[in-house]
Amino acid sequence: MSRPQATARPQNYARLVWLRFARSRLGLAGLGCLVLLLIIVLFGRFLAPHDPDTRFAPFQPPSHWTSAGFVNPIDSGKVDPVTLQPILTTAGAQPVRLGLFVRGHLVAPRDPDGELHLLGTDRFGRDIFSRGLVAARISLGLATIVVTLTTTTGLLLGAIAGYRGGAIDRWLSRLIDFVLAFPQLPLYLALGALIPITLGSGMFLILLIGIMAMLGWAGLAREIRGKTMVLARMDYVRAAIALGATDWRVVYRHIAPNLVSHVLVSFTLTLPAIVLLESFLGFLGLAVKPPLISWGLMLQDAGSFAAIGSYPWILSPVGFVFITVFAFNAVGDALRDAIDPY
Amino acid sequence: MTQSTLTDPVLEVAGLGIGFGARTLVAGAALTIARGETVALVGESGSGKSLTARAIMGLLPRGAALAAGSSIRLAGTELTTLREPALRRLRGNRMAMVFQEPMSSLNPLHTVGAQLVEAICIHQPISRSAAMTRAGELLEEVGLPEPLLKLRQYPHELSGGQRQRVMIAMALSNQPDLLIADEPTTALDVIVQAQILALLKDLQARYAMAVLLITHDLTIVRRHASRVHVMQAGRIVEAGETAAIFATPQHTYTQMLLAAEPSAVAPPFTGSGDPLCEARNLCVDFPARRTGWGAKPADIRVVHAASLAVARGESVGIVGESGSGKTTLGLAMMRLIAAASGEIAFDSTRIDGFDRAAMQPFRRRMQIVLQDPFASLNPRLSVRQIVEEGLIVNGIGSGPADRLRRVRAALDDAGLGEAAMGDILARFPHEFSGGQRQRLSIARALAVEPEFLLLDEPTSALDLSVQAQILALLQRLQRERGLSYLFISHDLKVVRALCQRIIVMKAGAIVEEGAASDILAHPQTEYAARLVRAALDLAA
Repeated sequence: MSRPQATARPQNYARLVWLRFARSRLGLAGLGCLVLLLIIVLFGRFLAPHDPDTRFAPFQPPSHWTSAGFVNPIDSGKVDPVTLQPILTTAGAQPVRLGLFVRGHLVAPRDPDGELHLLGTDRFGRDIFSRGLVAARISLGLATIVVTLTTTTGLLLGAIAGYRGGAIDRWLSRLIDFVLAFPQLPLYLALGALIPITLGSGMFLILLIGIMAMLGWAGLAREIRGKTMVLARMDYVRAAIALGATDWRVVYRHIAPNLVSHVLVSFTLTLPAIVLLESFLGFLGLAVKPPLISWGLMLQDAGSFAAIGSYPWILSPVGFVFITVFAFNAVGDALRDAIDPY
Repeated sequence: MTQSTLTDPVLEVAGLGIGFGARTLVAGAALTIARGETVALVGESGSGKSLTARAIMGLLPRGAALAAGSSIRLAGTELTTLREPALRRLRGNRMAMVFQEPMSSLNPLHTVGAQLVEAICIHQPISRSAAMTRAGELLEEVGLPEPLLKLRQYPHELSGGQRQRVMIAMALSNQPDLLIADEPTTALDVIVQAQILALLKDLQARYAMAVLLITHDLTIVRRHASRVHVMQAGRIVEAGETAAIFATPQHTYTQMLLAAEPSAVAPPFTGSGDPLCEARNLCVDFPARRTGWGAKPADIRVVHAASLAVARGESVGIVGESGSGKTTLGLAMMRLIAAASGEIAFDSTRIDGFDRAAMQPFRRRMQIVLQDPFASLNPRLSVRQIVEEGLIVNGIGSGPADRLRRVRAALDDAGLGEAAMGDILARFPHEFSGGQRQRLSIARALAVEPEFLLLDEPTSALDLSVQAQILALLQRLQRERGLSYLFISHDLKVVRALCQRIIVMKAGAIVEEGAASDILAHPQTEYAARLVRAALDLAA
């Protein structure tokens, strides 16, 4: 026992975490999805086959994949006897000729009048797939900003409450209770209604972010407070104080690094929750305003039962939300297992 | 292997091997225990002694498996080929086990009586009321006062020692042939330890049980076992009569283990006697929590008017049971927790009223080494960062190069120098063993060149051989640097090896104080006498 592992090379922390993370297949799949999402956020307009605001015929069904390529169904001239909707067919329709790097898009119909609607079109005839790709930037950007705000606030207030204790802790804890006790959904709707309708879309977005951040930090703050209290009583903190370390040094050198793992996991698990919240508030009518596009806004159209019944593809933005939530949850879970390799 | 012809062997283990995947954890272990005999299995942590016990009970952890050719016979029945239901009928019935941790081995949601009745009714066809009567008798037998009241109480209402008595009662409930006691007293205070061991001895005679006593404590072995098996790295390296092995150990490991037992007496104090660190009438309160609406209840006093002084180059030991306030007193003297009243002086300067900034120049002169080698080092910092921290916060050293030199010197002094360990500066605490971590803690303290060290049970989480090394290190450092130690421990043998003076604490107050040799030879108070007897008296 005189020199265990004397020859082994010291392993740094990030490497250990990565080795353990790589053991989770679901986590790797989630990481793959995250990379895909990042690419979509950065290059959404380029990847989309159409401009998100170009109008085609409304409520077109998705293009079909046949042996000849993508085909847009055409009106067969007949009418469904029950719903009185025109019956569409692919028979006789011309396949869409696709080309690479056409008019600033990666893949698009070569013909300037050609149409490719992988997920159909919405009520204004806009291509849902293209809009979904472009909306990723707003939806994920909004979620990232909100989570960054809530995480910073939660970490700061939680750490202060946990480390200082006493009266500060009592007051901050009551504030946390107060925020957690709000009935959140009615509050969101009420605050949404308070925002003047004439407000520009950018200002509206900022207010929406503000509301979400204000209501979202308390849970993390409470967790951080508890963890800080535990860490502040560790022997190594006592040893640091005995060495003469200041409060500030104790916090950033001894407490914060041991909170990082928790915060990182909380970040990855809260982000999909905000994406979900945004889409679901959109469904209820509290979404970003056009001309901005978000998944929540796209789902606003799916609010009517009749529309979903006739044109089920307008629900497809849910798919984007689903991929996001899966990716972040998978990564967050794997990260949580990997983060404490000691 | 000495193998006397045993009459009536209760347990015969032969060729026992335990593997965990590809690793072999125990190999070729053999031992026999006769009726009415106590056999000890000793070894350091990781030697495989608990695993052997669990194999006998058929309770191997998931993933561990018996090697081919292992044989465990209980009163003639081969256990290794038995299926689980048959084993279950034997467990708690013909063979029973007492575990180390009395806090977690009882279910907190059921009364003591209900748990005893369950243990009885599983194996005996008697009614619950008859079983309850039997449970009361058992509690009386294990020496619990008011057994009928205890039956209705929950585990949290009992002390650690009482809980261990309940565990023993439960193990005895079906009059087993074999009782396995796995470190039954390690979690208990010394005085309670002695009582529990005496109880076990008494019950063994009454029930004519075979007892397998697993322990790391050689004093217990010497006092209670007729034969002893020494285990090292999964093998039984030596076995025989206890007296013979203690007198003439054959195997080098056994010799090392016996030599590691602290038996020396501290070198006499030769300093001037001027106090370096001093407390006068020090009182420490723990704040009471406000419950409900009424006025805040009074704070709880945990240290009552304690006065003590440590001279330059002297070692003073504080001994006492857990909860006696010895750690609190030590931390208050270091100004790490607030004192309610009293004076603290360091090098003739009153420091009790100092705020953080005023304390700063004193911090580097008084350092601490704490008990838990796992909690006392920040897992996220490298060895260099840990040892360097004190230099940085105190502005010691002329620059990074000079600090690095000082870090290396401190590691060297603590026995972790390059010659012994290679370059460890970039390593993290989890790569080190308990003893090495404790050396790291010492290096961290040494780096700032202190004059006074508070040692709070620095060796009690360590194996005996490692403990001996750390004690030797502390003695060498004291010789070379003239350090003063305030040494907190529950183990009088360790205190005797290191300290010239001893302070005995009970319930927050100092009850006795004097030269180590005086207190150990002629303790004045009944409490000190009991502590000394429990720790040192072999004939007890």
